[in-house]
Amino acid sequence: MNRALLVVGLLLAAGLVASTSSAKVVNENTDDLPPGCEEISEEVTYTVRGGSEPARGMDGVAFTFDERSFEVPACAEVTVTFVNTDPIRHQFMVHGTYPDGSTLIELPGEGEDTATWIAPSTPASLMVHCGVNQHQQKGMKAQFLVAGGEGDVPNVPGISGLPPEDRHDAHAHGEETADDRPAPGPGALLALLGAAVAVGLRGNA
Amino acid sequence: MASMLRRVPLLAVLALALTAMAAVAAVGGERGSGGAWDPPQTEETPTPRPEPACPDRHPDWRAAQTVMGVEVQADPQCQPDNPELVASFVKGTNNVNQTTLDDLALHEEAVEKCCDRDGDGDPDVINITIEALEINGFHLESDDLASPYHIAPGIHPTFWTFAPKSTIDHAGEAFRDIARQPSPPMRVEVGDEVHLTLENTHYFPHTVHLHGVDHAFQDEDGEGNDGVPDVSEAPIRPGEERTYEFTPRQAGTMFYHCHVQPDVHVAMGLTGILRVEEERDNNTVQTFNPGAGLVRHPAEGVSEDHDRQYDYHYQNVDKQLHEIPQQRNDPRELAREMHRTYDSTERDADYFLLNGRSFPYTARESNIVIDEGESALVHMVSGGEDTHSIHTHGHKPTIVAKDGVPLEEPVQRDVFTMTAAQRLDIVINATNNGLDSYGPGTWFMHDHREEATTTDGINPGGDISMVVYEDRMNETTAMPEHAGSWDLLFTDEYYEGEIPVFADLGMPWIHGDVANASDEDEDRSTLPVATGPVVGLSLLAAGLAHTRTRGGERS
Ligand SMILES: [Cu+2]
Ligand SMILES: [Cu+2]
Repeated sequence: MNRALLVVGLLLAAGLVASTSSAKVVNENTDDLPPGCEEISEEVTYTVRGGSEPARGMDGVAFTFDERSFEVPACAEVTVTFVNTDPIRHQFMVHGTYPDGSTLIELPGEGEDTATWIAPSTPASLMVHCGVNQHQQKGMKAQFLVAGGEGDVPNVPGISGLPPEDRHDAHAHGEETADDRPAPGPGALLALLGAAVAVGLRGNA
Repeated sequence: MASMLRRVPLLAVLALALTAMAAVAAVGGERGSGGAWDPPQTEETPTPRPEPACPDRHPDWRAAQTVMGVEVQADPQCQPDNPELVASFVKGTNNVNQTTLDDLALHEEAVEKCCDRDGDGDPDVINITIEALEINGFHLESDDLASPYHIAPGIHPTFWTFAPKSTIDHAGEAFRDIARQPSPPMRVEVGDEVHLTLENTHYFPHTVHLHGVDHAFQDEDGEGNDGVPDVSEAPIRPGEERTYEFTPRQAGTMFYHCHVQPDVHVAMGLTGILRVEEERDNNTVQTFNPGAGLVRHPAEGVSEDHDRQYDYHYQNVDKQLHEIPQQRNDPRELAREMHRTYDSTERDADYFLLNGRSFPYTARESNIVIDEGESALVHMVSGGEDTHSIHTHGHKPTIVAKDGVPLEEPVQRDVFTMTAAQRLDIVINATNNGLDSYGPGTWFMHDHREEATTTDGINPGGDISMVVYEDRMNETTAMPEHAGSWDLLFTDEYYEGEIPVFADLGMPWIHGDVANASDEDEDRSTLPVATGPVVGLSLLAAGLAHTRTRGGERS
């Protein structure tokens, strides 16, 4: 066997084993002041954990962030350290940031990274989500309320509509309420029979 | 539908009531006052605006080219695979620069290749990372799907798919090329040390079972390696990952699929071809073939005897199952509706896919293009649970292997029967001798279970494709030459059943006014049509009264 090739191979193998997944930070902004901001009003920092672990114990949520509502002053410099609790891909993506429209931290697996952006000068509710397919739908949604915000961002778990509070499903908890799932009484069966007769007659026509 | 009857909920009763009332309203409305009846006007037939038969997204992708030092075969069809994507899957994503990976929405871990251990000029340690994810799923803030994946005009059922590990898609187009149906054919070489990692980004548990692929029951650490939940191992939960290990000793066309609740998970799309290629020198294989179809960098062992290599993945789709994830969001409700309320013993397919699409979209990317005198090796699988009877017009191809095992005596046929999970390797020999081939043409290739040539009962649709001789591939349109017009097939209205049946042949109204015909028919059935719902409604009223009483007692 070619010894040089073997050495190259071993080096490559070592490289593979040692390589750690690289995070991605897109559209950071630490110095470009949004319109109406004279200066940075305040520096605020958060550490947010996201993934399946924070969702444990929450009904009807597969993935989420451990904190889902943040209040920041206008023109604040916001620094977020996003911690991915899972060995799979997650994102912390803030929409409505200046000047690029969004700021993203993507982590391909367990680990953390940090991004900074500057809050606008007027009240705003900025949506945060993970863009991996179905993650925001299944709970990975949060909000930044700037200077009090303009109301809650919809479908933020525990804040504005997703489970556990508002989409509570009685059936999944083994309970049944009268208006939810009535037992199939003879009346219902009779009605079905009627419909079946209707279908049958239609079919024979 | 019968599965709905398991628990006769109020909803079903209400739905029946509404149906019955709608039927009465329809009959009453059409008859109008005093029994006078105005036939609908022909103008009411919609004027469909066809989408382009070929969107012509990237004409430059079609030519044969060398990309990053990788030879990529020509694919003259409308929607070929991106040559950069093909080249990245050959080189290994660990050997491609970050800018290219970003353009392709690929993560560098998708396919890592290294270590020519036997000095034969190709890498022998292969790390593959796939994600399980949902496409065409629930959308929170509107009824629109975020980035719909269409199988035919206007049709976008939800699927679950395995896909090469991806990253954020800045341009918003590349991700759709890798996260689609079917789960991508994967290729490795005999003797490769393969580490296949599933990262479960989906909200249900999944596994990978390596069907027909030589693999140990447990890996070196004693962990389950067969992918069968609670037999070999626990399923991989949402947010978890697991690596399967195999070093295959036998070549052949194999299969991989999720083995969690397989009556639903296989149907939802978590199945793909896994092709173990024979060992050759300098045989760096194309690890993924997204969307199946032509392998633009065929394996060395195949190129020796054949001019082209194709992956052909057939699927059947029961829309009742594939609509559930668009109707509900809560994972608990989804689990209940998909695994309990939905009854797979009542399954009845509505859509039939070849390489993730139905005709006419198959005509954009899943033809077998061949030149006179050439030979094509086609790896076919029934990836759902249907049995297929695939007929190749104009040819009698030869079956050379079944389920990854070469046949000692190859058989020549014109119908190829494949039951669920079965693989056939067939050779299409384009020698015009009256047996192998009857000569050049645009030869139909279709399932002779004729329902599979429809899309929800509308023909032509389903898993139709064509064997197209190269001189019949129109260079301008990038579509196969054909008689008549396909324009009406490229409309949502066609598959909504709104285009009269023979209009697609350029013969509208061949029997006179189509609109009048259907209503004449209903006229004759006035009495039974009206009587049915009336009887149903009276009984329904009694039923509802009774149900309400019961409900009151319970609260
Ligand atoms: Cu996520
Ligand atoms: Cu599964």
